[in-house]
Amino acid sequence: MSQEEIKVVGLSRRSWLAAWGALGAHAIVLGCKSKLPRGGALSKNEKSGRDGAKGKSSTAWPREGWSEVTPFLALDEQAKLHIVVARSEMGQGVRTTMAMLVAEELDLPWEQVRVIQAAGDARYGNQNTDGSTSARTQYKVLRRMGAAARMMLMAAAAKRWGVSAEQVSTKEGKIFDKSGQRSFTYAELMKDAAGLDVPKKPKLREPKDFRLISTAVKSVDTPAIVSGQSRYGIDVKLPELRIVSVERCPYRGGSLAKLDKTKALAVPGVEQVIRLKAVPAPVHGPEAVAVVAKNTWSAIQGRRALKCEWKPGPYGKIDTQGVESKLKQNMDAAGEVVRSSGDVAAQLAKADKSKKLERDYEVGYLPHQPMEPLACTAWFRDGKLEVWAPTQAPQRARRELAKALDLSEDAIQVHVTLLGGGFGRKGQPDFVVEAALVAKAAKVPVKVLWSREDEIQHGFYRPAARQRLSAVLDPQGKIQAWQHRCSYGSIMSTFNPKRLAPAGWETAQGMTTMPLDIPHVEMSIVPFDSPLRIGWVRSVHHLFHAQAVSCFVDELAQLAQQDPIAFYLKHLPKKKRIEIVTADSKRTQKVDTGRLRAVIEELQRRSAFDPKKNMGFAAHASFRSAAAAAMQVEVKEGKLRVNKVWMVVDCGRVIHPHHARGQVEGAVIFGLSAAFYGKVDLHEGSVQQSNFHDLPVCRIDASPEMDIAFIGQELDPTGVGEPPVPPIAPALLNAVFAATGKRFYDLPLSKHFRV
Amino acid sequence: MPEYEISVNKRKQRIQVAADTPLLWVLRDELALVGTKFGCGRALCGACTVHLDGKAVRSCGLPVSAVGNKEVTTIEGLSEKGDHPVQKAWIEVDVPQCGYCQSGQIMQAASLLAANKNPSLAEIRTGMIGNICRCGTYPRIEKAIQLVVQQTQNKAKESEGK
Repeated sequence: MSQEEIKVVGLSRRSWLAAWGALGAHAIVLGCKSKLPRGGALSKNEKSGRDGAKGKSSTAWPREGWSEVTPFLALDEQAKLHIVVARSEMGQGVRTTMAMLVAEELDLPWEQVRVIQAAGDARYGNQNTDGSTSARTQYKVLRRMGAAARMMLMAAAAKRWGVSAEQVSTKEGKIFDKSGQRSFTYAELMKDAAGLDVPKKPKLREPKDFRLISTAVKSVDTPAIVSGQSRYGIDVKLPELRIVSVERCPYRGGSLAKLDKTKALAVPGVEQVIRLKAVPAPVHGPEAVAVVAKNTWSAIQGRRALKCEWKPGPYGKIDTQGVESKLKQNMDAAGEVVRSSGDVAAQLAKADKSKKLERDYEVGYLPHQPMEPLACTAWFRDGKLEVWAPTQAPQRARRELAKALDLSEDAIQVHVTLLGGGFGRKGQPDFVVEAALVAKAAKVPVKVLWSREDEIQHGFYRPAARQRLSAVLDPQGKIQAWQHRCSYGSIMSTFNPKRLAPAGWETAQGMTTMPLDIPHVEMSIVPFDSPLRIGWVRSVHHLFHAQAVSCFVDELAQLAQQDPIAFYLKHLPKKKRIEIVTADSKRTQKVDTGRLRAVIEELQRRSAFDPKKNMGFAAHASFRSAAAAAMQVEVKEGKLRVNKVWMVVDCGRVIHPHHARGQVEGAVIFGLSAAFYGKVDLHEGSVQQSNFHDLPVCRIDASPEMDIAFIGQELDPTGVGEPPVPPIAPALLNAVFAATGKRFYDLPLSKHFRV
Repeated sequence: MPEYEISVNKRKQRIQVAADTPLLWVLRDELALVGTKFGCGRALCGACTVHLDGKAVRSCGLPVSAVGNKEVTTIEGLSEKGDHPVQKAWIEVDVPQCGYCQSGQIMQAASLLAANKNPSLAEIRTGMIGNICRCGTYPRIEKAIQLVVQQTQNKAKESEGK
């Protein structure tokens, strides 16, 4: 979403929701309205993968054009700022950074800021917390809001003093006239300012004048977190709330053949056992049996006492081996060409064997494992539904709830709680819809609590993928031809099960956007019908595309007997930005090669990169940012250890240095976890792993020393939550090669080392 | 249904639950102390860590019937005003990302530091290895624990000086 799709509008004090707190006699209240995307409030993915399912749409605003107005911020009588944050907090610090943007332009002390979490409502514009977009898309929108309020206060002061608005300035909640003799606090001017018109074009501050942005202000949620007072999806309380544990069909598309609920109902505290029908795409809710009980332990025990016989569906016989051999076969199938230039086939045919390389790369299904498993509370009464969910996509949840319960969106409220981690899993609406269906059938407010086993076994996984890369070097050791073939299940299949081929935006996540300057290029994909549901996991397909591309280039450098970084830079176009024409997308794909080069050069300098010191390198551009990683490892008696990681990131201006750095640190740990352990196996159509013992993630002992640097601060912010993840696995694999002389092409590495 | 009397955060509580109910669910469902989190249900992740007579235990694997007359302390009871040295260090370093695992991390760290006032980095890692943080705040957890150690030592020196 671009910056311009939200408008700032002045509102009366009365439009402020009472539930958000009293504002006093005088207040500036600003609202927003958002431009609804053409075709209604659907995300791009939903539109291009629409399943045609009918749902009642909201009547509150037209499906196209501008939405109605909703309050967004208030400066109350005491000049305390109440700011609605419409994105979901899952650890990236969004509630702090979004509020900072407003407070910066308002020139308000940070202590006077209070955050209100928005419910799911299209009037706020895009609320999807995904794609590392919050800072990028909200950077100017939110600042404009703060600037508008500040200009109103300045106008009020100027009027009182009888001077022009240019004669007054602000500093930390106060207004001064040019002489410096007179001043007002904001609070003293609220009465005058509240009645003024909202400026149409609020003037933003120059970055050199920033006072909060680029400083590590105190996080709004930390005090509550460390005293155990912060509330997540799992923590919602309601009167007469029942707890629910759900046994779901272990096979995708399978069904319930037989149910004996006698023993479950005999468990003390169990009140109801409810059969749930499958919910079609894009929700993909499985057939299931819900045990409704007075408390959690009864629900868990009741579920254990259920006797369910499941009929495997179309995927009921598939094992991991079957997935892998099909993907392997697909490497030789006729693929759809997604990017092509020159004549790769001819180059490969005539090349000398010693100048040619072909390698296959394999990854498996990867679940998310957020520390808070899924949980959702739902209350259905008087034809209206209220849900409380740790969701990354409250508007999407609301739409799917409307369809599944045959309600108007106006009859549905989706409250967003804090998320105990998300990583993409909590953008899916399945767990919200499921809770609502249980609530409706049970006729009591319910909280559906997922176990860790449920989370791991009923995910929307990063797809299992196989990639084949082939290349030819010319006599000077430059890459002459490049062939890349991929096969994996498409995320589009989540929206439309018939759509199996990856879309242009999927291949553009590191495959077709391979930026190196190579005369002959051919890229193709072969669709794969996935036995597991596919979704986005932090950094999405960049994860495996970057791994294959970066590891392959590293091996080509070895073949050319050149330093890996020098080899990469030699092929990287000198231009600041390149545009790549692909066959599977109407848009040209842009890659900021200048940013990529800059992070690599800075990395080379900081890390004193030297493969002889067991170091590996990888770099990747994603979510409009660029990241380069170097890793130093040691292998002793089969035990692999990462000693140090260097990362250089260009994500433009860093709004909150502590949180941005935290995202990079977290990305290192997340990337290492995926590379070390990340894969679930299938046996007869169902997922075999169940908890942290058989699907571990990195613990504190695996946390390496980190050297992290940000460059490119003069540009507006781009993504930081995801971009540092893709280079991790390839930098690790390349470092393992540097240390052992062996290359590994399949993840996870726990197959080959103790990690 | 059997009745139990347990002491939680220095308050006696009577509850009627099945004998095998894990302490975690007693705290969360019966006593509304939801600061203690559920993460795995199998004592693998540490999100549910509380103190039993000052020592860190996983409440998801501890049946309420095994608590006896031992004192249970949860994150809500670690200090009166959220100002235990570990909590203060956690705020100063601004450790949390999503924060979900942090109650458990803090309870584990407090227990570790009660037993060892000056742990080395290796001892910190061994002591904290049972607590998973999926956001990857490990470097900050280490830093915060080291800060507590340093502050405790500074305090000790100050009082020696007096």
